[in-house]
Amino acid sequence: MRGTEPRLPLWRSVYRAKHAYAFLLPLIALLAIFSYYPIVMALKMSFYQWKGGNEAIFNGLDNFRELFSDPTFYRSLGNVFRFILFDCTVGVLMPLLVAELLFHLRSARLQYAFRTMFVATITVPSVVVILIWVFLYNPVVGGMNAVVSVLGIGPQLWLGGTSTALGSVILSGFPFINPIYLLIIFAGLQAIPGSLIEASVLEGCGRWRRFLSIDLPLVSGQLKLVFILSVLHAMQSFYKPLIMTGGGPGDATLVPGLYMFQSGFSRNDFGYASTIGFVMLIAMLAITFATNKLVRSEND
Amino acid sequence: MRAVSVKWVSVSAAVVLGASLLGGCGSSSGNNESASNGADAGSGGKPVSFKIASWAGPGKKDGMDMVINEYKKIKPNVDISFEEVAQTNSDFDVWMAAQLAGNQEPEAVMDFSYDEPYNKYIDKGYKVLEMDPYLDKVSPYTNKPWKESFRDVDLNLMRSTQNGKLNNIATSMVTLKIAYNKDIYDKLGLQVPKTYPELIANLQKIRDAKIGVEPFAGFLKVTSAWDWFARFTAQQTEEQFVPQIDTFLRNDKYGQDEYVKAVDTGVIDVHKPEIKGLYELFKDFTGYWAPGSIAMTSAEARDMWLQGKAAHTFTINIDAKPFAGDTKPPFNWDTFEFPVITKDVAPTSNENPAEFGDLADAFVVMPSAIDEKIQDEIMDFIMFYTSPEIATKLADMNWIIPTAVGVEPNANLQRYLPKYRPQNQIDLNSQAPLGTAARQYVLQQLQRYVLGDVGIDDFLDSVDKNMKDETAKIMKEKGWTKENDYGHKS
Repeated sequence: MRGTEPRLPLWRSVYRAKHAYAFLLPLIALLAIFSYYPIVMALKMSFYQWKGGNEAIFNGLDNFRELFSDPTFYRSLGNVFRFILFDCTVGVLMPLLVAELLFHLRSARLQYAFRTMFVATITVPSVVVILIWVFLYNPVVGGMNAVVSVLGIGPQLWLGGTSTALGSVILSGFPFINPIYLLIIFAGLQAIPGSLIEASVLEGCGRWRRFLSIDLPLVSGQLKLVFILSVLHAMQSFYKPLIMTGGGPGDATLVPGLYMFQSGFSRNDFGYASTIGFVMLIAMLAITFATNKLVRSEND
Repeated sequence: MRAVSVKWVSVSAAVVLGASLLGGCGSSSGNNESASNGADAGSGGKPVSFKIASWAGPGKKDGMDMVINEYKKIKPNVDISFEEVAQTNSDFDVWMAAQLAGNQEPEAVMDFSYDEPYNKYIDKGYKVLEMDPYLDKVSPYTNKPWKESFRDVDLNLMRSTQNGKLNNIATSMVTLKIAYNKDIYDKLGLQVPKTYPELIANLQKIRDAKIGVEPFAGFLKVTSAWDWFARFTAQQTEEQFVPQIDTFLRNDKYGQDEYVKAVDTGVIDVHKPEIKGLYELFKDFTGYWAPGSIAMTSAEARDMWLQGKAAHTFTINIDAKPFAGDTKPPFNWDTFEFPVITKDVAPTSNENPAEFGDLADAFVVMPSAIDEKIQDEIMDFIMFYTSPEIATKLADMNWIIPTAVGVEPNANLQRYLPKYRPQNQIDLNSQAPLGTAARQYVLQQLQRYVLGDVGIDDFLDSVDKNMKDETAKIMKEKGWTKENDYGHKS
């Protein structure tokens, strides 16, 4: 019967929910000012040669032409691709693994304690963690070379070596358990009906079988969200390379976000920086759209 | 009645919420100072207020507050505040970019000297105050023309190479030395090196001794150590280029127009043995740096030396006070000048080194001060700051070397006093006159070169190509051609 209800005119439906709209309006206005306006400005300034205070000079597609023939940009894309690859595999699997382990703990008190311990790491400022890793990676005073020597690996330059710098930056997230992702997946596991789990036990379903046939399909919505967040997070990588290596040695750890920052704030080329930002925005939207289409969840 | 009041409460709440959010996000406190018309301001006229900003540094705020308090005694109507708005100069640059974009910049800043103010402000279109006219004015604090407060050679360094104008006044001198661990020198029977080959021999002996100490803690994450080396070495090995390149202003340093002309006409060619040789010499030197130096900052290198893990490091006079107090090295130590580049290392060397350092704490008067017409008041404060009496107090307080003449150096700075002739900016290797992008490119490629990822020929080819591309870009942007003599003929 609901489907046969006459549709209200737009203004009337707005008037009916006027209080909700009244509360939403300031937030939407702020979102427009601080999120959508910069995007529009980035698109506009992509067509200009602009140094900040100078008058911006329209230069058509010159910035885009320069960007698409810029080997440094492609190198930075290659680097960020490695970030994405790592974040959407290890970065998704590790929270899933830990969430499963937590979910199967029989003691509710222990489960709570471990969950708190994992989530508590969110309170440590990421800059502090990064600086600790910078210290650990120092080949002379840091401890990483001592750790790998136990495994029979010789001293490495870590952040100071062209072949080791990018891997060092990526691996500095060890043990790769993002507390937010962990909570999302854990909440998904908790939402699995108890009757389904009991039935699987009665049917003699083993743990591995249960993981594959019950847990994984039923948290696929959460995994999809974590996957998309991981991809977006990796694409926006910026502060780790900035703090740890400044993009070097050479451009071994340069990522588009850092390249955009350097173009704008070091080289005063805000037009080119806007172009990088706009192209990355389009790339992120495209990847998010593709992920939504390709990765199917139970809820889709 | 109740429905009406609920409605009003809801609407009012929404309006207040929106207003408070907007107010919180966009509150402005930048340019609400009284725009006093400077002439009668100061001791008896209209009140004037302005803000000076900089990044944090040892004793910087205490020193500035002391000067402000002294100034307040003679100019009670001038209200000055000083704020350290960032921990590092790079964070400060980002902060300033945001302030300038929002027209909220402080009226004056304390920044780096040389070309930094040009590159950071003028090149972006922000017209900072040109200070040349003030040099001929009589300073009320010395009763002499203000220019007599400084050495000509330092004023020459402060001027931009881009337009030859004085857009900043540096108030202190940064002297750079090499700090060494005397205990290690005594243990290995080493002598303080006077020449570059002696330095390399010492570094090799420390390495050969296998005592768990790296020969040198250097850093190459940022440009400074490389810039210092390039400038220092070029003044011995590339001075013969000066008459060929310094053709417009003839001020013993390279303006951008002069540099562009020299690249365009082939005078500057990185494949030339003198220029190539400097890069090779730097690679030779970095071969003795601690592993991982490519990704290290100056602070990390200094910490490594303080921990006794390296025998040498770079040190500047700003380290003097911490090294005598909180971060005193746990071993005997001293400093020496970067040694002379001898002819056997570089055949073109004049063996006459120039000082290895910088000029710092440079006042720059921002566009907001000009808009508010208080530039004269700010310049009066800067003249006060650079007067011998105040400069001496600051030197005693913070152990700095003022640029103002007639100031006795602090007795604690013995290890850091300049020993060589004053420096100039004549290096052909860092490509600083072509701007930040060219300079950063050289650093990036140099990191790969010293790591051995690329050979000297590939390195030179990439630097050469980039140098020519950047030169072409500047010529196009500024309308310079060979025919119009790079902007000097109409």
